Amino acid sequence: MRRAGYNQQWRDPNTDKFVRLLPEAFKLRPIDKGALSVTWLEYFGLDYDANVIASITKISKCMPSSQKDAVFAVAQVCAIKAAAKARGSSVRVVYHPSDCNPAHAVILQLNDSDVALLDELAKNVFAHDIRWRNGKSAA
Amino acid sequence: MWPDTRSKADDQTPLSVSFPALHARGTTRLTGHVPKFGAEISASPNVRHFHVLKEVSAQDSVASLLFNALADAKILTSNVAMVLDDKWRRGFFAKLDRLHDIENWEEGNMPVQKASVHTLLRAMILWRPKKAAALGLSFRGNLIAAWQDELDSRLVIEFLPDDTVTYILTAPDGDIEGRHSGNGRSASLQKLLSPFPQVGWFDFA
Repeated sequence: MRRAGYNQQWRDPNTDKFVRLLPEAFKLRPIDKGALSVTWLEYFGLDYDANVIASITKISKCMPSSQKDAVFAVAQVCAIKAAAKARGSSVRVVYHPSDCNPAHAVILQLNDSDVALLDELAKNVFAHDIRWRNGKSAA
Repeated sequence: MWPDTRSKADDQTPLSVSFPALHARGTTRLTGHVPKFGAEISASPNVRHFHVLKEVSAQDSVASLLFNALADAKILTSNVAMVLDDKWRRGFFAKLDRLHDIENWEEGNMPVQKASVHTLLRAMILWRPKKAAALGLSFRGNLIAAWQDELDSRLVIEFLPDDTVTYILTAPDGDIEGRHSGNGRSASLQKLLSPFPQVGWFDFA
């Protein structure tokens, strides 16, 4: 699961309704130190929906600000890897618990200068299940 | 509709629109400081000293950072309002406000940068988009505009300093999505898009 704030979302210009993520949602910031932050759903060992809710809850607790319009997008590891491979690169998805989030993981070796890859992640890979903070579907 | 400046004299064409320096307008910048009078600190029985304590909470600091960035962006935009579509300008201001909502603000991100606003404004004057764009903001404070059509063709452009844009165009190509990306000056977008039907999304000056 990847969290994306309001500024990284594609919102309808007339209604401000959520459409999808922007490629920017997968850009690496200096604070990321080359590792894109995600959360591993299966860590919680529950059924899918409960894992999603637990992940959202954990990520939200770790956010320093409220970020009321953040969305939480789910993707399969195999799809992330396949997208990178199709672009001639490879990524690793590694479990990397943090003090705040025991389900924290990272995507390593992501070439975030490959805008086409980021667009694929935004449009297709992280597009099938996107939720609001309350767990309801955003798309 | 975008004001038609194409028939005017050369010194009034969109390409020669100038962007006066922000500080020439004598803007006032907020500091986010909330002065409070401090307690007496001197031990002297005859002389009493008071210090003015400046307390700056993290929230105040972020709020003033966002406020100043918004003010700069809107003042820069107002300087060229005469060549902007009025409806577009109002929508742009409203979106800037939402992008800088403190309840959505992510720590460590940069607010909108003047240099990016400058590039976007120049681009909008040159490109005269026929469709409204979604607007986002990169963590570096660069504006991002995105257009799509009913066939799910998409164009996402990031406005960098120095009149530079990066773009990615995605369009259905049979049963796959074709992607074309690159960068260049805002004036070169027409040439970059010319092989594609999406060039019709703009009324290039």
